[in-house]
Amino acid sequence: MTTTIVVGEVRGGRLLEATSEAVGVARRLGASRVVGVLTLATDDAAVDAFARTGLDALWVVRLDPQLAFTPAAQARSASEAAARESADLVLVGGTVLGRDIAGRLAIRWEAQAVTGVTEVQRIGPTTLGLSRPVFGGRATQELRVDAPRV
Amino acid sequence: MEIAVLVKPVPEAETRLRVAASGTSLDAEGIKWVLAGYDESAVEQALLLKEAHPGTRVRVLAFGPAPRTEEVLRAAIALGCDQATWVEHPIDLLPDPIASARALGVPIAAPLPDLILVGKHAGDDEAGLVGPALGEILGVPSFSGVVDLRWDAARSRFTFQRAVEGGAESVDAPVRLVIGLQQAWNDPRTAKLPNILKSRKAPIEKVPWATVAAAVGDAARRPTLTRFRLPSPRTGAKMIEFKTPDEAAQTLVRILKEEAKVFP
Repeated sequence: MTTTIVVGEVRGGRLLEATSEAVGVARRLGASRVVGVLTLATDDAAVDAFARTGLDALWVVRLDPQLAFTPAAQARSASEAAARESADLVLVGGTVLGRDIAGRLAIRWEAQAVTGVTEVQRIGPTTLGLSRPVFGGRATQELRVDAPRV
Repeated sequence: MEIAVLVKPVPEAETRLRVAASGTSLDAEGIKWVLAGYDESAVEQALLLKEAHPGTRVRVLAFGPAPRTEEVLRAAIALGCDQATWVEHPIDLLPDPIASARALGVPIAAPLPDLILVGKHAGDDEAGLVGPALGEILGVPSFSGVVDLRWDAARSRFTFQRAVEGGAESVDAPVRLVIGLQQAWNDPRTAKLPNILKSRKAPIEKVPWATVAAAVGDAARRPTLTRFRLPSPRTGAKMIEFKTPDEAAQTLVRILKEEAKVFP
């Protein structure tokens, strides 16, 4: 069984489109279980919106408003969920906070991390093939990542 | 205040990219390496804080192969940085931002500076991961997308705006943190000739690879680069020959109507 964690992101009480897209990517990659993680202070509407994206489970981590928005707190929640769910992949949106979480999570979870990914496919039981633009879009880098990865 | 700035050598913007024989990376032959634009902005931010707050020292650090890394460190010294640290990078180590953060985390940790500045991302891999990864390694807060960074000396705190999707957040944070600047919003200075000459003889602290190898870890910790490719050459372009702008416009309209059939 492969479990993918999707880190949800909320802005102004609304779930970001990047989060819904990440859930879709998790499904396309054949994850048998997709688990959402949402770290926030109060936005209940966003919790409902995230739950409706087709998750198998949703972790909601409630924190003090002064803490909830920090990349460190968000990465801590994602790392905890990834460990407890024995996930092999964590997906974050391609946002400012998404990159912050990815960098911290790579260290905390001892995982490989790649950002700016535009294409992803499963090329083996535990291996993903990725493409990402580099040099301002003047070239493309193709990579292979093994679990665990962000 | 002690400030550290992380920089990276990148190919000059006008560089014609070529694929290396391995097919997995950029061909470095003949490339002119420079301090990345976003890194210049980070150095400028550090120097502005130094000028506004006497007693501040700026240390610039880089992890990369010779000789390009030494050259960008000297460029940063010429701009006004006080101290430079070069972490050696084996030529066969494939680039990875998390590995870079692990390597840089060794010399930067002792003593831990009050502020660590990084650019938005490197102009080559554009990953934007080094700052947050370093924050986790050092156990300090990290924020990317930062604009309008200010130091409130009376309260010993930094204040800044964080540009995030759909808005901005105002943040007030204590010392010892990693800041990723959003863009080149300041106007980086150019080095003066006497400072460039002096920088050539300035001492650079060298951290041997052996010192950081254990922290970086083995290849299993890093993604595998499988291919580096350039866009296919464009085809189908048609050059219009003309003597006057009117003639060019008439030819263009005729082609759009008769050949491209964009309009009747």
